[in-house]
Amino acid sequence: MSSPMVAPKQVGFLGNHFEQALLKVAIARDALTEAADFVRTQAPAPHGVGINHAVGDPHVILRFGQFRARLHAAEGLLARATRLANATDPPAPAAATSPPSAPVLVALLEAQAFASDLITEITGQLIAWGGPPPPSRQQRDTPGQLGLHTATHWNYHHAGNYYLKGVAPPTLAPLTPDPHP
Amino acid sequence: MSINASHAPAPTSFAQPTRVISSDAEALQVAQEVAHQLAAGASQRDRDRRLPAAELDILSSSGLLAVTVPRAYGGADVSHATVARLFQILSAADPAIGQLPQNHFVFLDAIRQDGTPAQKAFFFREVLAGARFGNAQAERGSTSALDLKTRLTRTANGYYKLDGTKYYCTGAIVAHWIPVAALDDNNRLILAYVQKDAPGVDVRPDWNAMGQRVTFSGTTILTNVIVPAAHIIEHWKLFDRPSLFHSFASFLHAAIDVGIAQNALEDTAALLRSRKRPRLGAGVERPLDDPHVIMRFGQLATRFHAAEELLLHAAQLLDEAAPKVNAQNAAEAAVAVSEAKAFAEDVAIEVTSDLFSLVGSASTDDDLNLHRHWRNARTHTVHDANQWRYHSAGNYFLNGVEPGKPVRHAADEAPTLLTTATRQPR
Repeated sequence: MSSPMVAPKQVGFLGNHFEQALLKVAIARDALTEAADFVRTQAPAPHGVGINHAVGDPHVILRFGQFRARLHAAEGLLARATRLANATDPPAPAAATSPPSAPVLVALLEAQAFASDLITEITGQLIAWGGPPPPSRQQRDTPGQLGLHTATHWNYHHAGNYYLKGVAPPTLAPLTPDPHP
Repeated sequence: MSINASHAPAPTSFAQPTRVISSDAEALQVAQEVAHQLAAGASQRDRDRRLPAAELDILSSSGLLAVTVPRAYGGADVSHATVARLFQILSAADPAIGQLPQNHFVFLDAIRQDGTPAQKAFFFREVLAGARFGNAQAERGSTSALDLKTRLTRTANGYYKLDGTKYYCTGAIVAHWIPVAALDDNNRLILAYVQKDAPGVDVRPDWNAMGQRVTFSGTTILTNVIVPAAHIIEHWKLFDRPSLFHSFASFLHAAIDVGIAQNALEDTAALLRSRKRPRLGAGVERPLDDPHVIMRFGQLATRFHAAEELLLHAAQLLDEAAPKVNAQNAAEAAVAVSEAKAFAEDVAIEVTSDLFSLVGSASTDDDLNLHRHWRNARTHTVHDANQWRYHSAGNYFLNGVEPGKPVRHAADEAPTLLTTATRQPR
């Protein structure tokens, strides 16, 4: 999991859900890298406590440990969804025409929600540390396309509904093959 | 060291036959069976603070306590992922019984690490026959784990005697052998494996913590305990090389916390399904239709799965590093274990606390003893500070500082490039 977890690139229902989850985990990974770069090169040292650089600030270090753990956890949730898909769902091309099974879908929603929360938290913390507004990648990808915040709560809601009552979550439209690859 | 013939290793005699588990899959299947047997009595044992001696005998005879014995000695040598699952499964049934063998596995590993071939042959045979190791490491009032007052002294007639007082002796009270950490005549750290019923060994049932009650992690007093050389492991050697020993110990603690979270999450779901009255102001027919309950439960389930994945991640790094341990892979595994341990604590505390807000007032009924989940999580997770676990992971990521070394301070911490960097205008 130290290397990016890559799900098989595929079209269809499952492809669309995997794309969403992969993208969010990738953005979280980028956000953490950018936050670390900022703290290493630009962040101000805390005032009046005898610490000369932000990377030596125990409170900053603690936050990075928490973020890094959660990034690995987000990658793990994606790996979990991949394992479930490989174990239960039909392989492509059948996967292109049938919606993913509920456990796989829920696992992907969990990975998406968890990664989205992490993105929000890292970017928020970066601003609190005196960093720039959300860096380019998030600025480009976050607001419209991913609808991070709203989706997050509903993704958890779908997961809760499934685990408590066995209600399957709604399925995204299938991803169609690119006519001009 | 020479073995004094009059104090040669004496095998333990066991009343019941012990199964020999031969694969990872078999270990997990047996773990599920044992967990099923243990789950029903967990709450009552907690209430009564009853010594789970019979339950530990079930665990011994199941063969589960020997699954990490190397194959060359007749064990299954299961993967770290399997050991984690085993601890999670047992702890989800009864986390005190899940924790009781934690030291057993750690001190089985200590023999694997630094035991002589004869010590391995003897102790691995003992464990395959059903023997359990306890522990007597920590001392109250010491400034660090290595500041020990317990001494192993060589006597004029060639064997050794052990004296000291230990606390937090999880597993000692139900053990056949108690590995005791002590300093020898050369001030080196050794482990003396003493039999629990040996003269001069006094294990006291004085553990009164609010949670993990039946771990009986109390006092052990050692007075003039005779130890043959054959039972002394030269543990100090471990500290001269990179190893996974301490990471493995924390890894097992993380698995116990994940098991506690699972236990509480399953109870929360079952209670929510059985409850008829929704929360005040919810405006829905039943608790299961309350959007705030549903969302929060989904969030907790996600975080529980995330904790399981961090455990699996750590297991993978431990499995990869184990065949050829070096400073690099040991550091990476240690960081992964720290992440798993700290996050597991967060999740265990959240789930065991939110159970009450999700289910409502009825769940606070003392007769249900649902607070044992929180008491167990809170008691077990303070074993070490989760902030320093995260700190260690953060320092490795941000500054390349390997875990286990003293925290560097700012003055000597900033790499050269940082001192010359200027802040860019915004």
